[in-house]
Amino acid sequence: MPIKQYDVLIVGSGHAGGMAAKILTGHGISCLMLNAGPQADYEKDRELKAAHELPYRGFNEPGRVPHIFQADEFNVNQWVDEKEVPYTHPPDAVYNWVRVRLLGGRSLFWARQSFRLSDYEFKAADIDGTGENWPISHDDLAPFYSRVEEIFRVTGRKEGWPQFPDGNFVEFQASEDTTSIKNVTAAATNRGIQVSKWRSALGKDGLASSINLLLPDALATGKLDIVENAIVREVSIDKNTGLANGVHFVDRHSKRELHVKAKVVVIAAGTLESTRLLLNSKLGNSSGVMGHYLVDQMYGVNVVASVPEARDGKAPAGLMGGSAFMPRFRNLSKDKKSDFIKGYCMHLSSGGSANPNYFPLYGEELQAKMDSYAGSCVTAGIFGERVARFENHVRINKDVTDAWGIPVLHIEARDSDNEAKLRKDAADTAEELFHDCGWELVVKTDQVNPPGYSIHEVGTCRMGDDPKKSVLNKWNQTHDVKNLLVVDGASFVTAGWQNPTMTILSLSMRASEHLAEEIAKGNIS
Amino acid sequence: MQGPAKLNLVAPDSAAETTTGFFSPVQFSALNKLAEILVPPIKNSPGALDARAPEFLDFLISRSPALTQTLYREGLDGLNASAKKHFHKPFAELDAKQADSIIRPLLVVRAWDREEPKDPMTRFMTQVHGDLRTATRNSAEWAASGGATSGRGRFNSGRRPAWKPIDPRVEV
Repeated sequence: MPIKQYDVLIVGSGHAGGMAAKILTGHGISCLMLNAGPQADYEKDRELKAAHELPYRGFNEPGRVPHIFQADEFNVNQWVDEKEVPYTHPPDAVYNWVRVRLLGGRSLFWARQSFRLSDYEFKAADIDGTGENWPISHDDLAPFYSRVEEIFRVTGRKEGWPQFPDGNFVEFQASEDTTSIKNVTAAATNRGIQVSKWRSALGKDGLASSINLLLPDALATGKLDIVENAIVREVSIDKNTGLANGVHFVDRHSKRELHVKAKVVVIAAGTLESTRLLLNSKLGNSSGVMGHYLVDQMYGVNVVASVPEARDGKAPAGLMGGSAFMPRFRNLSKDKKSDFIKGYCMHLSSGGSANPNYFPLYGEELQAKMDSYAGSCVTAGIFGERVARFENHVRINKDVTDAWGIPVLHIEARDSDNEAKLRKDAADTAEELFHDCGWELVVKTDQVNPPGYSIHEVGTCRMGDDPKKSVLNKWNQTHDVKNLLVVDGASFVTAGWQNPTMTILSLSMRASEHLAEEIAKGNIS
Repeated sequence: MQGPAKLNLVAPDSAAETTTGFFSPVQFSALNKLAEILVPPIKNSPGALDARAPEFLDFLISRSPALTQTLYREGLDGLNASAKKHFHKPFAELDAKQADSIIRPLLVVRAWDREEPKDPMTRFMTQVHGDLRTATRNSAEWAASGGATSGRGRFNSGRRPAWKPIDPRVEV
């Protein structure tokens, strides 16, 4: 049987790879998708269990995935096993790299918060006075955001605020706020902080993933084939043309080495895996910035108050419950600057209970306290922007290899003084809001999770107009090899405070449409 | 042809006891005492001893990283040393008031779950308190009781979808 020929190889099957497949096959372009893991079957691969029916009573197998704080014994098999695909970091700089290699990648499990970046992020250098602007603006990406929002059925309340661009939302189902949310909204408004609601992808049938919203359209064209359990080792280059001509990959189980050819290689393996592949391929790094400017968001700050009228189970109907969302409100105007750059969003939830760790008690005394505070708590947390800095980077660690002998990543990311000032401002602001409401402060901390925890790692192959300062051009092509693209979060210049998924999807859609046009014109072949 | 017999499968814990042995007898007695005091039965909910949480933790800690094993062993030894110093007997033989005088100074407010106290004994108390609560709340005994009190562990007693190993794990 002759080996089938493909126009485009797509490495990765998550939101970025799925979108590339949908767009390219829609233009009649034949694609082969390589995915590092298998397809999961939600019926066969899951079973209803109580914690006591699991081998470790819900604690999880000790030491199996020490960096994945999101892992528990129910979901541990969905994550990448750190023994199979390890990575290294300095002992004093823990990095949480959270990966999924199932078909669909992390799009299977994301939290579906759906925000656009604004020009406060795309043109951040103009506002912050430091860093680099993106080579595109919100206006450039807006048409693609709109199409993505339609596919993913994003719901949200339109506000008309420049730092929180509205989208192509499905009808927003408004419900009346509880009194506690009304009170904290009034307190925020008095302090000049705008309060909105979450924006979320409804998807279909409870899933907003590549496997149900993107890949079905691509497969329906008959132009997409998929190889699962294909661990891509290296991009190959035609020595005569200097162009990419395929990839080398390893079969996950047999460890058999294979090579597949194509006219174009699109990498969408999920930010750091994409960068790892390019670094191991020794491609696309004439600028020297590949691997650098790794950035994500700070998830954390925990400020909890108790509403006195709601304690001891006496909350009147309509007092507790619901949530509030405050998009970035710091450093929005040049005449109101903080002692830090960038900003954060704050989210509040009402009606929760206290964590037992909040009280230095035990036994019946602890239980009585928790019973008293049950349902009376309002909790504040943030998603805060980290600064993209050259020092925060990944590089290949030649001394450690994964289960297929592929060198792993060494990740170094540390927070700076700016992050410390930002999270302190957030904790203080939440405390002030709760004080304004007359609520009792239960606990307050400005601690945040380690870098990587948000699962929003972006950067390391940033885009830009200057090939000396960036890896990709504004169409996600590598400056060095025009038929080699990276269409996932690796292309980000700044992270923003926003969940990156809508932006990843929109960038992949935009890049793929441009690629299809270039192929049609014969500019890439 | 007769089909395969219908098996009457039961959970091992309903028919057998965990064989312990990671902790020394003195350490295990101290762990039992902690379980009795920190997580007692309340209303209709079982306590840590009812849930055989110490036996489970003997197993869990035996499989845990060395740092956790050291924290537990030195923590339990520390409780016994403190009990002998102040009351001239092992921790397991203290009355409630005596045990409280050792435990209470080791309890701290933690606004951040992953914040680890610097003092090893305080860190141990934080860890064992949380582990005993979780082992109790995640037990079959708790599930059978209906979980009458709230907020003492990680999971509810209800059933949730658990992912099986989706693909054979690769030999490393």
